[in-house]
Amino acid sequence: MLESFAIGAQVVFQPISIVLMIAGVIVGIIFGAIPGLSATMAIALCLPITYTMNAAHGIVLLIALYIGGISGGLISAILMHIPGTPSSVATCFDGHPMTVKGEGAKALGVAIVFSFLGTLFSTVILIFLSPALAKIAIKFGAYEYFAVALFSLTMISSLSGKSLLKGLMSGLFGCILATVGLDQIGSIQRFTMGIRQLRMGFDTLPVLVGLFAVSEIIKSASEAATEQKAEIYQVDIKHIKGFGFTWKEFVSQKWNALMCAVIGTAVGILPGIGGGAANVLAYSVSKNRSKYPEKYGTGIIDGVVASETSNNAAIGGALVPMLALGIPGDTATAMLLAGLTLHGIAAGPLMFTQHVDIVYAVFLAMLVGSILMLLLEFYGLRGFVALLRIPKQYLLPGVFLFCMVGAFGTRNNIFDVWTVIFMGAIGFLFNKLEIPSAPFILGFLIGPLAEMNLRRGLMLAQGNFWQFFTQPIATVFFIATALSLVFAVRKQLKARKTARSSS
Amino acid sequence: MKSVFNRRTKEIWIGVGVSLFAIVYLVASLYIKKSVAVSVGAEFMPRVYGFIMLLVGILQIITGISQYRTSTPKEKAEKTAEKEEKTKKTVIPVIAVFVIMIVCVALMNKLGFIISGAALTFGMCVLLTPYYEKRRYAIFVIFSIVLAFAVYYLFKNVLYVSLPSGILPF
Repeated sequence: MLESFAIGAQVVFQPISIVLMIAGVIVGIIFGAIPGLSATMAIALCLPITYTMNAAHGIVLLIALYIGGISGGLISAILMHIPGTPSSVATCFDGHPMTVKGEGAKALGVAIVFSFLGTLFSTVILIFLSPALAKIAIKFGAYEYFAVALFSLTMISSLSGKSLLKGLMSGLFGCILATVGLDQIGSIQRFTMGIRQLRMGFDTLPVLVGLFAVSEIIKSASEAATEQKAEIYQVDIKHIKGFGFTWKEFVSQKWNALMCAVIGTAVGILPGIGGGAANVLAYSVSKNRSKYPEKYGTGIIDGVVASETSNNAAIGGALVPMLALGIPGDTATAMLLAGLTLHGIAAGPLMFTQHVDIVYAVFLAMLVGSILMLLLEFYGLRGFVALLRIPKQYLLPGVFLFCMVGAFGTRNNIFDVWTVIFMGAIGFLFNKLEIPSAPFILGFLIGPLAEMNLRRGLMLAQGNFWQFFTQPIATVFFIATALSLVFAVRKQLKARKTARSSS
Repeated sequence: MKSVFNRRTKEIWIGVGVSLFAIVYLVASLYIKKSVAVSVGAEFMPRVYGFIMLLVGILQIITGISQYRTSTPKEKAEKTAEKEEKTKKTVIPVIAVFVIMIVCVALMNKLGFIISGAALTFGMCVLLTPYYEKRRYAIFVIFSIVLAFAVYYLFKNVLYVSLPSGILPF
């Protein structure tokens, strides 16, 4: 392992890598901090910049963007009461009341330090868990991959929000979009409608960019006519000691932070779910287990610690299935996966033997990136707050222009730019109809994996599906799939019952 | 006559739309060439997805109908009117953003990235300006041209992504 770290260090500790990471963390924090922009968008935007870099430098930059992007959301959550990204929704609950009470600097300090600790915790888990998982995964065949993919698809239920049906719709739309083009086994054309460009199917990057970035721009256009101006609170961090909180306060949070780091990492590992779900879950668990739950929401550091530790812990968690299985842990890791593919690297167990430099560069970039995040975010806070004031009418057209070039550059094809606009329209429509977008991505990415391995498995088993159950790992995942479905339906029925009784 | 498309029937219409989409998709899947070499062909998964989608669509219609029955038309009437007023205000900017995107991308190969990109940026600047802020057209023009040039230069000469040059000589 030490040898592998030395190989990774040769990449990460090059001056160019450090510069790229500093730039990545700063840009990530800016994207995280500005409401409407996200870590996924930051990665999408910078992907074309990595075209001319080697794969290792490219991935180091993208990891830095990811860390900065998830953490940056805390700034607007605490100062504006608007989560900069979905990962910092729960940070608003206590972070902003603290600011109103005049404890803004403390809230920011706590949030930044525990973001750092969350990242650190999950990185350690990532370093030990992903190689072990890859060792098991290298023995996976079509049966196991199909079972894992099927289990991953059941995660749609956790991403569905209020309506399981709408989550399913979204996930199925994703699966369906992925069926367009030549099929992966027999190269038979499906739903190409005679359009030549559709034979290659829809590329991941334009689909993700359209769904997340362009739909957000369109949403901003609709809000420009009605939305009120958001107020940004002023916080004096010039005259505070250390990070604004005492050692006693820090120690008092150790179990809360540990519990939330575990929750964040575990939620991150589950395919498709990232910091967006982790922070809300960790906050509610922290509140339920607290000795003083009534104080949550009034402005206490426990709430900020819960949200910020868990959302950053989800980063390391989300990288576990991405590196070891080639299955993205969340939308940002889906982008990272697209980035690796652009450089001709297939994520998965073989990466741990064929691209050791990249794998260990990722590990070290996580560690270095989190330290950079801690220092840059706290000491550069005034700069980031100033950037919150950049008018959206200048920022978003710039973002769109970059998105367009990024999409165009993936295959040098204007068709991918059309895909961006088309997906932007779909994303906006989803938003209006209250259909969640996250399951769509899960379906789009995992659907083809499930199909390919099901068909391969059936070919191996000569059409006998029961053969899938002869493999112990596959059987475990099939049982997990069944349990996940039962829980999802039960949760939905329970929620409906509660809604009925309250109305 | 009151429109059948309203907030109370929205959920039903979502179900209808999804069901129709599923039917079209299933019909289209009939045209996928069958392979003789493999036991499960390329048409298998699309049909599975299509059937599940149809089922989801039907369940959505049923859910929508039950929600329609339990809600009363006068319920939150004021709030609904307010929301509809807000929707009316937002429709034009949204359509305009789409039109600008489509026109500029359609003309990109002919006019080139710089011209279409600058036009797109300018249009977006105008449309994304909040109602409480003044539209500074001169600044928008300068910003759009500088941004389009900068992005073109960065990608063409630094990152070697060839963008359409169109009618401009560079």
